[in-house]
This record gives sequence, structure tokens and C-alpha cells, in this order.
Amino acid sequence: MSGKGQRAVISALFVACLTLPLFSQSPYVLYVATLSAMYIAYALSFDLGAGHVGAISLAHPLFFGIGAYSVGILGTKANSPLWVAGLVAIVLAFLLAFLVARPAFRLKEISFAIATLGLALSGQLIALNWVEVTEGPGCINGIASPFSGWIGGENPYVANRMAFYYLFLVADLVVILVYVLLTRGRIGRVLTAIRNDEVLAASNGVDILRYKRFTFIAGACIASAIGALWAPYMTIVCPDHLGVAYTNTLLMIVFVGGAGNVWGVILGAVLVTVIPEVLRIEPTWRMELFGVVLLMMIIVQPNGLVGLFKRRRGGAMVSDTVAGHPNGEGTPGGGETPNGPP
Amino acid sequence: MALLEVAQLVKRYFGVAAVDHVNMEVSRGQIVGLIGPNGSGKTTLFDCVTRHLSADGGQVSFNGSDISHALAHEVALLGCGRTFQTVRVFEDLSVRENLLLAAQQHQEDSIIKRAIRAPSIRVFDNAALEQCDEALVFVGLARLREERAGNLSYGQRKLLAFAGCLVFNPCLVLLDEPTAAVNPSMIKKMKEQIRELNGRGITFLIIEHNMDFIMDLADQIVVLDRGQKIAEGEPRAIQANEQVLEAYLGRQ
Repeated sequence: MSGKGQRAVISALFVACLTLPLFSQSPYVLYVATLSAMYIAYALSFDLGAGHVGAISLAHPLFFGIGAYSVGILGTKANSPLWVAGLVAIVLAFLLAFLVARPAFRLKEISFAIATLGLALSGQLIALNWVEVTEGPGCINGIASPFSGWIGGENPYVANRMAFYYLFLVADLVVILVYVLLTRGRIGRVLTAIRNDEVLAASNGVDILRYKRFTFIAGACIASAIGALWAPYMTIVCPDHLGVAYTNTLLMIVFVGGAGNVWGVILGAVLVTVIPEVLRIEPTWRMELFGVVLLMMIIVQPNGLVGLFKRRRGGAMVSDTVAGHPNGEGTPGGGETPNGPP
Repeated sequence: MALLEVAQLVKRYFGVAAVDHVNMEVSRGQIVGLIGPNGSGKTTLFDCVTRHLSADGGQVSFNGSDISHALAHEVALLGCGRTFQTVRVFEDLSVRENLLLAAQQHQEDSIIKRAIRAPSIRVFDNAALEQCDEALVFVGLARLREERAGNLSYGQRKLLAFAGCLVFNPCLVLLDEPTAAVNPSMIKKMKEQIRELNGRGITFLIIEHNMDFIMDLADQIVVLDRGQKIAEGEPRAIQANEQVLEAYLGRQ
């Protein structure tokens, strides 16, 4: 896409998002649209680590849950306004991510994923069993909408839902902005370098762990903020929200759409939330289907759907003007046979 | 004091000492060759010096600081560049971005300032771009600066990796088999380039199997065999050394 074409497409999409409630005021359509918008921001925060430095944290829903529970608990038990509870949520997520990041990133890929899985499960267990605070499996109910005070009209229910839809659109804009700032230019280059070759990156002076921790902590804070907005929309927070099932959805979004690519993640978020609704897929079958699709994507199209559109930079192999063997790693010739001490 | 000092360095793999109590020094301004049969521990020694591997014993000090327990990127930031035996480049970055990455790591670094491109950062960016273009002209890749590094040929990748360890003005450069799979005219050019850089004050430690190349270039040669240093001295003396001939050619 040229710069001009790209701008036109972005503008069209943006207008479509803004005017969507004009076409349909059905609460169901609004719900699906809001869900998509929420998942765009949520998945982008996940993709900071997963798509850019290859650190797949299975604890991402835990941070979303921290946000949701902070608002749930503070909102229902202390009557805190949303912005106060939201700030608490972000601070809590920051502290936990900061504490966990240092030891967790001492582990390599799979061990890191397993460690974060453990973290997610402990979080879920706490939410289930600390009944005095979290209400346990009974869930926290009746979280108030921040809009309830100043929404009237003939249909406050729809008005409230519409307000949330726009709230998540704004959240998307903010998260996209932060995501782009953190993944372009020099920082983006460092992240790509880490994903390509950690050994070489270190010998170029890149503090790999620092960047991994950074993406992890930034992702955790964003996820917590999104969770804090989602709780009053759903009006309920359950221990399930911290669970690994949500990690599956995030993995689906990122790998179907295109890891490490803002358009890919947006596309993935919309497809993964809308398609099951359109096809009315039985929830119990969703996971099985997701699993198969995820496997297929990783095998057939590891760059995700955006990989189909993306023009490959450079194209064909550059002709070898200088030296040597275009076929890569082998070291024939002067490599291993010593010319011998004469 | 020597620029690089390796004292009693040991690295074991399951009981086999790949590097066995090696002592060596590289003085400022020298070109030192590190030779030895395959499997004699040359690359392992490199990896222990640049801290891509943790040694099991001994000390390494570089430019006056003890780097025995440093992290790999800290060694690089102290001014030690290196290339790898199997050539490595960042395939998804362009040729110039490959160098920019290295150059910018050696500048002041705040993730937040970088993200919002604070004015102080822009000055750095321009300086880094200049350094990169200079390095690309030096190795002859200027024409390909916008090319994706993954599209380069093996020889071109080798040149890019060479430029990558020069771009941040290192004081010591470790080259792991720079002439492997490079054609003779290029080897000649590389020799001149190393001499020129050495003239500008960069110290070199070079692993090499091409004897004509390294004997001509080096001031000092260190010979490893089965993890141990068996000889050290000027090229002429090494070429006449019985023990070295035996290690390379077997008992006569």
C-alpha cells in the first residue's frame, strides 16, 4: 500500500468505527463491536512481548484480571471512582510485573512460558479462594458504570453501552499510539534484532533482558488498564477472567493476524471476536477449533494474515558482487583446511 | 598494561576442558593471531572473553576492568567488537539498520526519550547515521544500504558483520575466521583494511586457518591445541616451532 492509499484506508476504517452505532443500535451488535475494540487493545499489549521479543507470557490475563479486580473490589467495596481504581490497577500491575520480570526472564523461552503459566494459575487460585476480598467463585457483581450518573434519555441501557463502545475506541487509539511509539525507530530496531538473533544483539551491546523486561512491564500495565475498563462494562469479574483460556484467545489473535504487526493484531482481534459470533459457534467447540486454526496458521502462514499482503522488502536475492558462496552457512575452501605452516 | 589479559582461563564441557588454563595477553595496537587445529578451543576462548559463555575459572580483564563476570553486552559496551564463525546478521533489518543498531547502543540510552524522540536524541541519530554510512563505504556495501540483510549473499553478510563490529569505534576487535569462504582478491582487500584500521589504533585478535593470511598480518601468534596454549611468539618463530608442526600435521 502506498502512503496515500494507506491513509485513505485508515480514514475510512476510522469513520466506519465512529459511525457504527448509527447503523445498528442493537445491544448485541454493540457488544460484539465493543468486544472487538477491547481485544484490539488487549492483544496489542500482549503482542509487545509475544510479537516483538518472542516472550510468550501465559500470565497476560492475570494482569488484565488485576485491573478488573481492582476496579471490581474498590468500586463495590470502597465506592472509588473509576479513575482512582484504574490508577491503583496500573500501579499494582506495574509492581507485580516489575517483581516477576527479573527472575522470569532468567529462563529461556519454554521455561519462561511455564513459569508465567504457574503465575497465572496462582493468581486464579487466589481469586477463587480469597473469598472475603474477591467473593471467590461467586464473582464480584454489580460493578457500577462510570457513565450511570450522566446518562439519561429514553434508553439509558443502550446509551450506556454506546458510551462504552466509544470509550474502548479511545482506549484503542491510545494503545495504538503507545504501541507504535514503542515499536518503531530505534527501539523497534532493537526489538527486531532481539527476535532475529539474541547472541549477535548482545555482542552489539544490546541489554536483551532490559528490553524484554520493558516490553513485559509495559504490556502488563496496558493489560491492567484495559481490564479496569472492561470490569464496569461487564459489571462482573470472575476468577475465569484470569485463566489460560484467555491466553488462547490472545495467541489466536496475534498469530492469525500477524505477530509484531499493528495491522495484523487489529485484523486478528476483529476476526477472532466477530467470526465465532457470526457463525454462532458453540462455545465448547471454540477451543478445539481455535487450537486447530492456530496450528494451521503457525505451519502454513507463520507471518499471519498480514503476511499475505505485505510486500517483501527487497525481493529477490541480491546478485553476489563481492565474494563467496551465496548458499550460506557452509564454509568450504579456506575454512577448515589449514593451509599449513609452510 | 595489556589491553586484554586472560589468566588461567578454564572452560569445561562435561569434564572435557575445551579451554585449559590458558594465559594470554593482547597489547594495545597489536594484531594477534590465534591458531590451532579444529576443536582446539579457539572459539570457546573467544566466547569466554566476550562472555557469551561463562568460564569455569580464571580471570579476563579488558582495558583495565575485570570482565570475568560481566554480561555479554557490557563487554561490547566497553569497546570490544566481534564477529562470529557462522556469520550472523539481523535478517529482518536493512543493511544500514544493522549498523545503526550497533552504533546506537553505544550512545546515551533512555527508552522513554527514544520513544518520544527527544531533541537530544536527534543529534545522536544524525551522528549514528554518519558513522554507519562511513562504515558502509569502508567495506564497500554503500550501494546496498537499504537492502534487507536477509537478502544478502554469504560474502556480503560477512562484510556487513565486519562493518558491524567497527561502527562503534571499538578498541579491540575479535574476528573469528574472517577469510573462511572468501575469495582470494577479497582476502587481500581485507588484509589491507585490517592494517588500515590497526593504523588508526584498533587492536585485533584474529582466529584464522589461512596461514598465509595470518602469518603475514599478525605481530604475535598464539597457538592452542586441545585447549592448552602450546606456543606463543612472532610468526617466524611459530612457523619453525616443532610442537606447532606436530599439532597441525601429526607426528612425523
